[in-house]
Amino acid sequence: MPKFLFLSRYYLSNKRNLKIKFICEIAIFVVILALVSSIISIYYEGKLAKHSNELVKLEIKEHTIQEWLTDAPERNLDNRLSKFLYRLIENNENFDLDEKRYYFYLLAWYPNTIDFAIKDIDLIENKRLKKKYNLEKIKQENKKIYDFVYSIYDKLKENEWIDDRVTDKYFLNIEKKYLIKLLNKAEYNVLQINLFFQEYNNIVDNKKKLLVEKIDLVDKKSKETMLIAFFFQLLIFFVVQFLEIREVKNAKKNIK
Amino acid sequence: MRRRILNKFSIYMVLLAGLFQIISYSLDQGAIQVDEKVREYQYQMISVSENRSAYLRMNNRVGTFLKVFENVIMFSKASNFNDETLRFLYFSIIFDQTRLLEDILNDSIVKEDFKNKEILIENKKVKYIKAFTEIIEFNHNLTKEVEKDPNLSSDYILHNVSYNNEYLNDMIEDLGNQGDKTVQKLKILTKNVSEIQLLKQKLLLTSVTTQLISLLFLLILFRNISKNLKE
Repeated sequence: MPKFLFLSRYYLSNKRNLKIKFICEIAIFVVILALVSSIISIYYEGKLAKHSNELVKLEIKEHTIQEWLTDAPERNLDNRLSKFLYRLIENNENFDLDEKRYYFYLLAWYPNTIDFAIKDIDLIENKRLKKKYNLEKIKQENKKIYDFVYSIYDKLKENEWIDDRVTDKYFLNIEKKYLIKLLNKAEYNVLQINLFFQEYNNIVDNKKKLLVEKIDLVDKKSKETMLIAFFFQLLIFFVVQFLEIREVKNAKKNIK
Repeated sequence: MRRRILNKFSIYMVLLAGLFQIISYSLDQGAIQVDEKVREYQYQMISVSENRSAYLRMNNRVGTFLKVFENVIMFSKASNFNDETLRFLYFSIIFDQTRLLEDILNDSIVKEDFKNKEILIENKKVKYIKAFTEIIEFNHNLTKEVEKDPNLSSDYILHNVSYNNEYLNDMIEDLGNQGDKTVQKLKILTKNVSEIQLLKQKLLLTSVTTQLISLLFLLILFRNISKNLKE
């Protein structure tokens, strides 16, 4: 009888302890699972941050691109409108505006604009696009136009400006054809700059798309890794539990 | 012989659980401090981005004004408009020029960014804001003068407007440079925000990890106690 009492108490307390131990093991398993998940998260967080940073950098680049996609066509549009205005007044007796001086005036708006665009293009590392749109040729032609414009400005005396009729004399030896040629060249170069930024914009957009895809992929990978880790741990847990139960059964047998 | 419930191993487990709990609290504190910085940088980013757009718009506005002015002068000088018509044309330019300068100078970002800047006026260095405020005052006086004196020549008005435009040409360049500076600021801020956000994320995740490690030690302790009791 006392042996039976001892055994039943032993079994009861042992059963309670086994329960606690089992709960502890489940909790340990959950904690390890969470631990592995957070370590995986830390690893992928670093990767995600790198891609997000690149994405923001591209967004900033896009600011400059959008500015030129507005300014370049606007410059040419303004030039065409100004040419049209001249057509409106050329046979009007209320106006006496020298055509060559007026074309020079239109030309003078170009070199600085092209110069600013070249500075921004120089910051872009894309040899293929620069070659495609003949950036070197644009630079040379713009320098030629720049020198021409300043060669006329240098002739102006104090209190003289290009909007004065008195400056007509500086255009006597300059051919209208030459001025139109330079103006068309400048207009064409601005169009090339516009096209350059248009194509570069597409490249940046594609890069952004790729980065977004990469971010999605890393995100997906992170979730998949966590799931695999979960199943792996679950498997280990079941193996350990199986071994423990077998051990308890053996212990029970030995007591009996 | 019964084993003691609180043996050396248990004490180590308690100590390690406590240590990791303290580390977790410290990391949480770190994340809170970093979060404050993130908020500050994010506000700065919005503000700098807005400043950049503002400078760009101002730059475009001054550019458009100068272009329209040059066109008006080019055509009006080539015309046979009478002096009255020219006076009206140039008078409207004074009005536009004054409005433009007032709008730009009343902007708080311009006041702040240009407060220490100087400009050369007739070979004399003058504070930027003061110089343009004087131009505005001059234009107000000129407007009154034109309204009072109907015989004031159009050339006189044009001369003054053109003189002021010389400084608007300087202004367009300064606004452009300031716009470039804000882009640089924006780049630095973006980098900082990105780095600090990553740091915050890592601090939070590490804090969770250390909390879990602490919990793990406690659970190992309980398991050990229950195991000892069983034995």
